[in-house]
Formats: sequence, C-alpha cells, structure tokens
Amino acid sequence: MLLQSIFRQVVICLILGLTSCEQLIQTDPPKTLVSSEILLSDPTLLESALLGCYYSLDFEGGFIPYIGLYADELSSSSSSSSIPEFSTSSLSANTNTGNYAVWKSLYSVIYQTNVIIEKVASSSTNGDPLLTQFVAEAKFLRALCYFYLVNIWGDVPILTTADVGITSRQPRDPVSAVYSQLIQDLLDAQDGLPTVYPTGKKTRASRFAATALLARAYLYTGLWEKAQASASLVIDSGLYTAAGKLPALEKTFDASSIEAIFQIWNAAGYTAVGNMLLPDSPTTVPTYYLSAGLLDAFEKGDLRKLSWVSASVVNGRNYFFPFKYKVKNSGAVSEYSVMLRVSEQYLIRAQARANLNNLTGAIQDLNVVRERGGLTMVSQAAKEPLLDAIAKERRVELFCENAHRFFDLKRSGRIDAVMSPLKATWQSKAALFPIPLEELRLNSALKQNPSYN
Amino acid sequence: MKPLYCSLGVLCRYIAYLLFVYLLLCAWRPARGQTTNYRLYGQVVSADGEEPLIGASVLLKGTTNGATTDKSGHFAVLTSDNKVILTVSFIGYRSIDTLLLLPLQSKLSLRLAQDPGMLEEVKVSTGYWETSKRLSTGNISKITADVIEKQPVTSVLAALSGRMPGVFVQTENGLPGGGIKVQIRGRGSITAGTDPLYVVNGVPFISTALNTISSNFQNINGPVSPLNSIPPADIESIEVLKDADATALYGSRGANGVVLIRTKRGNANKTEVSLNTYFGSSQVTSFLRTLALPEYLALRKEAFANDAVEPTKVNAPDLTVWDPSLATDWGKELLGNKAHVTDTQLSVGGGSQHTHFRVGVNYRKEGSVLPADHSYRRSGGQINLDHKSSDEKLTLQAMASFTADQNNLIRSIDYAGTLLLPPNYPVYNPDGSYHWTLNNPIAMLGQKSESRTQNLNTQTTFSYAISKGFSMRVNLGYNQIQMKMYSSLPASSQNPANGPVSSASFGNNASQTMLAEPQIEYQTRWGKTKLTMLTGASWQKMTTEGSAITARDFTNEQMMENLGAAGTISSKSTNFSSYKYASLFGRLAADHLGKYLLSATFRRDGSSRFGPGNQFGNFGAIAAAWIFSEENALRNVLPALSFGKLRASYGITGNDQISNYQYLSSYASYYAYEQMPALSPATVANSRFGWESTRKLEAGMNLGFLNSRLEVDVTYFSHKSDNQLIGYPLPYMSGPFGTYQANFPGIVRNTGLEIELNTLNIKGRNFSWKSGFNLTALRNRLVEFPGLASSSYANIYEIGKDLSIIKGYRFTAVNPDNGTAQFEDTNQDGLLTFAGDRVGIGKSSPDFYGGFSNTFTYGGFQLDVFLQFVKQQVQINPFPFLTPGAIGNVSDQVMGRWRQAGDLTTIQRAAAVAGTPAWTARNNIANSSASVMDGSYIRGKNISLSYTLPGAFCEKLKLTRCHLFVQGQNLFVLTFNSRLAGLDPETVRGSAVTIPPMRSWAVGVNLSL
Repeated sequence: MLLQSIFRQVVICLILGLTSCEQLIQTDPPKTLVSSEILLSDPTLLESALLGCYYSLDFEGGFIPYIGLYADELSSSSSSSSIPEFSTSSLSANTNTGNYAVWKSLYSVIYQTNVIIEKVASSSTNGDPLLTQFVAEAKFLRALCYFYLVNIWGDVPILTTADVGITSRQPRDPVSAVYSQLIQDLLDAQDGLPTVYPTGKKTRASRFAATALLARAYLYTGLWEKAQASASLVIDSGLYTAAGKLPALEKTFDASSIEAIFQIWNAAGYTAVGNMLLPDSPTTVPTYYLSAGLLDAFEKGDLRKLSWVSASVVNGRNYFFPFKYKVKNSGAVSEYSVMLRVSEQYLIRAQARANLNNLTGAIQDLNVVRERGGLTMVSQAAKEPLLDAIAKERRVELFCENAHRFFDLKRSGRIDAVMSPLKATWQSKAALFPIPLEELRLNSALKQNPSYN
Repeated sequence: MKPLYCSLGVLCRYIAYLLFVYLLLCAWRPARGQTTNYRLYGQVVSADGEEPLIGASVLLKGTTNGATTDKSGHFAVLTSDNKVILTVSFIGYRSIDTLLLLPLQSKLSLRLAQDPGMLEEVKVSTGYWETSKRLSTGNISKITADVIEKQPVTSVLAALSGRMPGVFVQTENGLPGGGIKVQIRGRGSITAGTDPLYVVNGVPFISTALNTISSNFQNINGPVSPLNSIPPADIESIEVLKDADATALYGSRGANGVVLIRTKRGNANKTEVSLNTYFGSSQVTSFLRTLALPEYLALRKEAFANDAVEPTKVNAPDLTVWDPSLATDWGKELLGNKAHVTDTQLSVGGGSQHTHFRVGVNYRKEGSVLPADHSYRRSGGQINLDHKSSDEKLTLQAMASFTADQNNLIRSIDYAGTLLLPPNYPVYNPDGSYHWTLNNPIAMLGQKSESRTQNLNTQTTFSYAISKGFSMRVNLGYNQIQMKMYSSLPASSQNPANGPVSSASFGNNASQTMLAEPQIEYQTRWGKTKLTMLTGASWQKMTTEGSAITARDFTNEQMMENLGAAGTISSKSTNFSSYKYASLFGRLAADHLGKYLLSATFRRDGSSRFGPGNQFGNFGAIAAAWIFSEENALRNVLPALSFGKLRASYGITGNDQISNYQYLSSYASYYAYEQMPALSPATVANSRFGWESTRKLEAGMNLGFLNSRLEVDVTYFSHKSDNQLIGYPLPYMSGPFGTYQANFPGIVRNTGLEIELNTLNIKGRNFSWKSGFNLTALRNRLVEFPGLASSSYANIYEIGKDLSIIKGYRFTAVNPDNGTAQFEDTNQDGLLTFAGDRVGIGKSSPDFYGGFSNTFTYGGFQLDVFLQFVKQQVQINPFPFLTPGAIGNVSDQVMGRWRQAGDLTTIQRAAAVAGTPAWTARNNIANSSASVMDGSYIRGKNISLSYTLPGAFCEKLKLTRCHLFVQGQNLFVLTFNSRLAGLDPETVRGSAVTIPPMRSWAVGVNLSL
C-alpha cells in the first residue's frame, strides 16, 4: 500500500512535469503547534495565548531570593551559581545567569503581550468586549514587566510591537519614557478591565489590579495626588479588607487571600519563592536566612515577626528565614504568588498623603498596617519623621516581597548610604544591574550601564 | 595563506622522502644464484595481451628464487626442479599462481588482470551512477570494510577520522554512543546545519539526534548520533562525495557533502560461514593535571591572604572544615574504570550464479568507565538477497536490517564543575549523608539516563534491461528509527538545600523515511564516444513524531520507572514534524576513447521546509577530465608515469538543513494556567526564506608513477556559499526565541588543498610495506556580510576572517606590581568594554589535518599503524584553568602564578573573594587571548596486528580462513603545548570540555568455514 502510494505520487510528478510538484511536497500541518494566524479565529485560542503571558510571568522564584541578597534582607552561605555575586552586589554582565534569567522572563512576557495587542488592533473585530478585556489584561501585564525592568536596569528599550526585525535593534529609552509608557498601559487597562475578576480567581487581572499598580507607579514617580487617588480607589472598593481592617496575617499568601489584589496561579499548590526560601527541615541551615539588620528592624512585639518569620536551629544557632509563604513543596493549603496586596496600597497612600501634607490621613493609613502588626498606634508626627516611619513600616511589612526593599532604597536615594557600611564590595553602579552581555552582543544599539563592562 | 604553505612544505618533504626510499629500492635487487638445470623464460603482459608489464615480480612458490620483469616484460629464472609453481604479482594486478612442467613446450606468456582493489581501478559510486576512480570526473573518497574492521569502534563515524582528505571528524564525547561531528571541506554556512547528507543503502538517513526532544534526555553524551545504530562491522564501504560533480544530484542537500554508506552483501558462490569476534577494554587516558592537595590548600590560603579576608567556615570550608590531608583524585574516581568490550558477528553468505544471499547477526556489549554499572549494548541482524533472472535482464536487490541498542548512562558529569572539585571535598558528612557545599558527583551517579534505539532499514532495487543500452531502475527504501528514553532525578541525588523532589522523564521519539526513485538510463556510442544518459525522479518523506512526559513527587525512589508511582505530571509534550522532498534529475556523460570525459548534471528540487513560493530550486554541475597518460606522445616521453588525469568541475548545490515549519509563526501548548491550556510561543515567522546555495569549483590532478607504486592526488577547491540560511540570533528582549530563520546575502568561502599519496614502498617476496598519507589545508573566510556592524552578529564575526573566529580581549600581561591581569584597551577610551575592545584572538577551525597510514605485511602477518593529526587552536574557557584562588581545583599551570610584586608571569594572582580587581579580571581572562592556545595534536589513532594462519593449517581445522588480530585505538596523543596540562585537545571546545576519545584495546579472531 505504501509502495502504491509512493508509485502513484512519483508517476503523478513525472506526468505533471517540472512545475507541478507542489502537491508532492505539501506537508501536514504541524499537529502539535498552533499557527499564530489562527489565534484570532477563536477567542479561546487568544485567551490561551493570554494565559501563556500569565504563565511566563512567574519570574520571582529565582529573583526574590537573589534581590534579597543583593539588598540588605538576606544572607547566604552557599557558594553555588550566582549567589556569591548577588551577596556581594557585584554582578558580572557576562556570566550572571540570575540577572539574565529575569531579563529574559520579563521580555518574553512583553513579546507575548505585544502579539495579542497587535493582533486585536489590526483586526476588524476591534471593539468586541471579550477581546477588549484580553487586550487590557495584556497591557496590565506589559506594564508590570516594564515596572520591574525600569527599576532593575534603569533605561530599557520600550517595545510595543512583536516584529522582531524592529525589536531586535531597539536602543534603550530613558526611565521617564518607560514610566509614561507603563502608566499609559495601566490607564488603558483600567478602562478595559472589569471590576470583577474574569474567572473569579485573583490570578487574572481586574480593574483594581491595574489601579493598584498604577498607584505604585505614581508613587515611584512622585505624582502624589494621583498615587493617593489610585490607592483610594482600591482601598475604598472594600474588596480587600475586612470591615476596613486588614485581614489576619496568616492568610495573606494563601490562594484564598482576601488582601491579595493580584496573584499568579500555579498548578502544584506552592510558589517558586516559597520553594526557594524555605529550608528542607527545621534542622538544616536555610540557603537564605534573614540578615541581622532586617531582624533588628522589627519592633518589639511585632506579630509579623512571629507569623512571617521562622527559624531553623542548627548547632544551637538560630537561622531566621522568611515564612510569608509557608509551603515548600506540598502542604494542606495552596499558595499563589502575591504580586499586589492592599496593605501596600495603605502605605502608598500614607506616603502620598504625607507628601501632600495630609499628615492625619497619612497616620491613619500607617496605623491600619501597624494595627495588624500588633504595634502601638502612631498618634502624631511631623512630616519628615512620619515619612521615615512609613519607610520603616514598608521594610517590615513588605520584606522579601516583590523587590520592594531594593526599589525603596533606590527611590529614596539612600541606597549608597545604607549599603556601603554593610558591604565592602558595594559600588554606586550597583544600584542598576548590568545589561546581560549577550544582549549587548546581539543588539549593538544597546549600551551598558555606567561602570560595567 | 600560512596553512597552505605549511602543507606544501610537508608535501615537499614527503616527496623527497619517498624518492629516497625509491632510490634505495632501485639499488636493491633480490639475490640470485643457484645451480640449475632449467632456464625458465617468459613474458608478463596485461590481460588484453597488449601491454608488457614492467617490474612485475616472479617467484617460484615455496622458495626465495625469483626475478623481476624487464623493460619488455620478460624475465628469466633458473631452477633445478622440473615441476614448479610460478607466482606472478604486480601492483595494480591480481597475482596468479601457474603450475609449469619444465622444460617448456612453447613460449610462456603470463597475463595479469587488473585488480579492482587497486586505487585507480576502485569502483566508486555517487548513488546514482557508478564509475571507477580512474574514469571519475568528480571527487569521491572511499574506504572499505578492511579499514573499518581494523578499528574497534562503536560508531562507524569514528572509523573515518583522518582517513580521507577533506573530511574532518571530531569526537564530541568519548563515551560509547557519544556524538561525533563530521564536517566536509569546512563550514560553508553561518548558522544552518553543516552536517553532510548521510545515505545508507540509497536511503537518506536522519542525522539529527532523537534525544533532543527534551533537555531531560540530553545525558552525559549530549545529542546521540542515530548513526550509532549501524554496526561498523556490517559496513562494506563508505564513500564521501565532495565536489559539485559528485554531489549535484543531491541538489539542495549536497552542499555539505554526501556520505554514502553501503552494507555488506553476499557474493561468494560457495556458502561461507564467517565468525568475527573480539574482546577488549577501553579507558580514559588523559585528565587535566591538577594541583595536589597541599599545593591546592596553599593556593587557597594565599588567595585569602591576597584579598586580606579571613577564611571562614562559610567562605572557605576547604581550609577550615574539610580534612586537610584526605585527597581524592576526582578524574580517577569518576572516570577511572576500565570498560570491557565484547563484539561478535556471525554471517552466512553464498549463492548460485543468479542468486546471492547474506544473513548476518551481530552483538556488542561495552561497559563504562564510570564507577556505576553502566553499559552500552547493541545487537541486530541483516538479510541481503540479490537475484538476476536467467536472461539477466531483470535484477533484484533487497536488504533488510534491524538493530537495537541500549545505552545506560548517567545524566551528567560537568567536567569543570565536578572533576575540578577541591581535592579534599568530602563526599559524605560525618552522619553518612551526602555533602553538598558544592556538587556531589557521587550522589549524582544516582541520576540515570537510559535510551533504547531500534532501527529498521529496508531497501529494494529493481532494474530491468529493456533493450540494448536501455535500462530502467527503481529504488525503494524505508527506514525507521525509534528511541525510547528515560531519565531520573531522585531526590537523594540532589542538594537537599534546594528542596528537591524526585522526578523522572519518559520520552519516545521516532523518525520514518520513505524514498522512491525511478530512473532510466540509456547508453549508446557515437563514433568513438560512449554516451550515457540518465534521467529520473526522487520523492522522499520524513516524519518525526514523539512525546515526552516528566513526572515528579515519587514517594519511593525504587519506583521511579513506574509512571503510576508519580504524584504529579509536571510536564508533557508531543512533537511532530513532516518533511517532504521531490526532485527531477538528469545527467549526460560522455567518454571519448577513455581519455576525454565530460559530465553534466541537472536537478530541480522542491522542499517543504520553505514557505510557499520559495520551495523549488535548480541545481547542476558540469565536469570534465582528461586522462593525459593515455596520450601516446606522453607515454613515450614519460614512461614512469603510469597514470595521469586532470579534472575540473563547477556547479551549484544547496542546503536546506533547518528545522521544519520555520516559515510559520506558531505557538505550542505545554502548560496550563488556571486549569486552562496556555500557549507559549514556539517559532517566530518569516515566510520569505529559501535555499542556501553553494557554488563549488574544483580542479584536481591524479598521478600514478611506476605502475602506480606511487600515486599522488592533488585537489584544489573553492566553495562559495551565499544566500545564507541564518538562524538569525535574536536578543531575548525580542522574545523567547534566541533565533529566527532568514536568508541573508552573506558569503562564506572555503578554499583548500587536498593531497593524497599512496605508495608501495617495498614489495618483496614475503614482505611489503604500503603507505598512505593525506592532508587537507583549509581556509575559511566570511567574504561578505552586508550590515554586519549593525547586526546581531557584529560581535561574533569579522569580514575576511574565519567563521570560527574567537573574539576577546587581548591579554597583555599580568601587572608585576599588583598581579592582576591586564588587557589591551583597543579603542583607547580608557575603559575595557565588551563592544569596544574585543578583537579576533584566534579561531577554532583547523588549519590543516590529515592522516598517515602504514601497512606492513610479512608472510601471514600484517601490521597497520595509523596516525592522525590536526593543526588547530583551542580555547579553554572554564575559569579554573587559568584563574587561581576560588574554591575548586585548577590546572597545575597555576604554579607559575604571580605571588609577589615584581613577579613576571602570565597567570594572575590568586583571588578568593568576589569584588576584588583580580576576581573581576577572571571573567575577562576567560574571554581573552590568554584562554586561546595551540591545540595541535598527533594521535596514534590505530595500530592493528593480524596474523592469517597458513592455508594448510586451516585445512586441518576444516577452516577456509583463520585470522587472529590485536587492535588498539586512540593509543596516544601528542600535543605541543604544555598549557593544555594533560587535556586531549580534540574534546576541548570553547567552554565545554568533555570526555576524550578512549584508548581501546581488542583481541579477536575471524574464522570462515
């Protein structure tokens, strides 16, 4: 039968002559692949492509422990892979794989979101509510990526197309332009997203997720009014608080967290960050343990030090490790990565209000966070001490989470002052990571950050 | 031009040496003189009776009495016997034994037939037509079973190393089943594949590894070559087609050359049973010479002192925690075992005048140098049938073979990461658990990687002679190769600090190829010219299909081969691709008086790898040859010249070695998000790419002197590849791809000189000595690359330089004051920057390479000695080789490091702590000229000694043949650079240092009855 079919095909070819062989070399479509041409033909395919963006966003597993080491939150005795370079805050542009992995993950999501945004924009189905929502989700994710990119590397190329012929030659854009881009994306996302989560879970973006990130972006750019307004929208929704208070500490990082505004889903029930940071057993030295400075930053009686910090005891010595995520690789509860939560929104608004000289409002917001931490309320304070108190509160509330500490040190301008006494190897250039050398090699329009080679 | 001059120098020296040997031989004459009754006088002539043979050897069998023929082919021998057996032998001709009764009754004329075993008469084939080396217009190199059988190798590709000019063979990993890379005449493509096209018994054979479907299956061997599944002992011949004339009928796939592999067929009339078996062992012979423990500890202490940092439990467990006296030699510990080999073939062949058959079975078992119980096993069988109808018009050839192999290995040994562990690194903690400050290679031995391959290969050819000169042929082929893979990562083999879970991967990947090739041939004479016309079509389909599953959370490590015992399926994927190929081809060949030869070929190809509108391409070649030794005028002037041919060819072939479906932008689904399938980008689109084409120009001369006792082939070639198919590297900021497919108007030129010499140095009655020498000098140049400076290749290539250019900083010196390595600030901007200061510091392609074989026979003994050599540079990238001080052992070369102000050395000071200037310089050293060094070597590739038992003795044992042998492979390697410190340069490639080719010994016997 096989021979027959071969014979038939050959005979046909011989008869039809030189130019009609096309059908002989027509291959079956790749069964295991989906051509991007048909993405728009079926909204579920486009949705699957969008879910691919969410899936790819899970970059924190490698990043959070590393950035904790790089700043002043974590210590490690391990000398494996990139750990020593992060511990000494001296990254090699050439060989540091941890640095490159985060860059790759973030730009991978940007490519995937650009495909979706471009496909819908170029089609006649523009205006379809479902597609509009997908585009808004894509823009939210793109903005989230740019937020990390701009805070890690400074100037970064803004890519808004999936055309690799263009994107592979793009130079870096200034920080301000990156912020404008991501803020515009978040405004668009606010418009296009519903206030309810598309699938009921917080692992897809809603309008409040976009608003919460927008509040953070305004805070980082010093737009206090807008930061306050955005944070208020989130807080006042009442969706993330329990009767105007923050919910119990224990459940903050659960899959069912009330306080979470945006999470990243996983199949296994545990997060990459939890898997990396938690030790095997209470008797082994954790790969990453909390620095003395961070431990000292907790006020006496802070409930967060009880609930969010745990310790291994080895040879009579305590090694404290972050215990926000409590599941290493299996457990009774499921946890998702929390990318945005409401307690940060209170702290954003507190800082914005303090800068707008609404000290009472700022104190109120600060106290919401302190109250849950079991700490005494701040009754009154002048602007500068209040801003310091808010910064201190951010440190203990948001430790080992979403790179808050490193970014806070940078935007407050205190990074050299804080890091230099702690690390002999600290240099001012370290406020920015080096652009991975391979990327410079492949795109000669990119230039390296100062003092790296 | 330097390599060419070098090679010419070598050639001249070699010729001078041969002349010297020849003069010695001329001076030497066999001793004569015996009192006699008879004078035996006669003439030796060629089979057609036209040509007297000069210098043929005539010997009375069983004596040392003999003579050599004179200028007219005559000889005279004196003997006292009246009944003698006369043995007449002559190079290039079959020896004959003749019984003579003396005195002779008539004039004695002995006719010798030409021996097709002799070089210029060797039959060569392009797969579409057959010719002799003498009449060939193209460039075809061939080795036959006798060369392959001398080498106790696992993969047939290893047997090619150094044997043919223009064919560069490189072991990628010395373990059984390890990859072997073959490159014919240099790298013509910037990024598309440079593998030759492999054709086994007429059917194209997959050359891409099947275990690449998931990185989980890439074990210690890396990609596994599918050609491993062809037992070397089954192979009759390997032909390598190189120039345009020989490769043009492979059209779009011939640019990188074609390797034709033919398996053995039955031919004897008498039924013969033959057994060939050998036993042996192999081992790793050279390791990097590293520091002994005291020197290592001293180095570490010095490094901490240099950095003014106190060694602590955290930053220096080797100094503060681990036993300072207990040392392990990690190389010996992990790769120091002997691997035992058993290899056996049994075959039965024979037949009648019209029907031949051969049935064979084979088995091979090879142990491993690794400390655990690992092995490679292969077994298979083969059936061949050849039949001719009684009118000899219809011919049928059919063969089927099946081979299965099983390779048990471990997942990885990272040469730099594990073999360079500190010598006092403890394997176990005091409590008996594995120690994990760094990698634990002993624990990692628990990470299995197993593969099983099955290969079914069938082929049938029908041919029918329709009328005089007119024949048709249909070649049908089918082969299937399937690989099943399993690899495991038990939690106990991983660092507990990383929270390991037990996981295992299961994979299955299979490829099927179908081929149909009808063709018609017409032969006619036109005056004194013989014309051959050939036309045909070819259709091929290759489908690859497989799946892979990774599962985790096994509760019991003993149950990891059972998917049912897994807690979670963590990833699952399927792969599929289909490749189709159709062509029409034609050839016209003319042979005028056996002197003037002309050949023209044309092929039109279509490949499914290209997008609509770009699928078809035209290819062709013309070639001409002039056998000037057939010109009478020349024959009279140069009687010593027995053969002379000039030939030239020019043509275009193509390259479509890229992945399928690259013209589609696509997504694949591997994962779920919120329990819904998520799509991940798989390929990025470009529908506008087409063939990469190579224009091949070649001119060659073949000379034979003294009835081909000295044969010289010299070939010059120039291959120009353009319309480059580039997997254009993409920065990851453009998406998760790494590359995308495009055509690019870049031009790459490979030029080279190939020289082959074959000599019969001594041909005595009992003793003979033959030599063969080949040398290839290559020059590879990137000629054009529009817009290189602004492209993503700007930092990789340079116009006018070799494609394998190594770019880096130019190391200037170690600063004698502070001991830190210094580099040239090429652009003089005061900074050392990646983009601005890197220059070409070397190249990794060889300057020249070749082989030198010698065969000595004495009575029944035969000794073969084969040397292989390469002139090249290597780059050793892993830090430990040249940057002392960090945790982990280093090359013993660091004993010459900088220690105090004023030291003048090329190895910088020891540095232990990140952030110091010397530590920062580590990166730069690895990317600098300090890491590039001479990697030339001469390898004792093969020594084989065999003894064929005398016929009488065999008869007593009822054997027709009995042959005993001892064979050694990769016996030694000579390098010319002490900085390599014990490494085998063949397996040092950039940052990857792998297990070198093993030294093997085998003892065996070959019996026929």
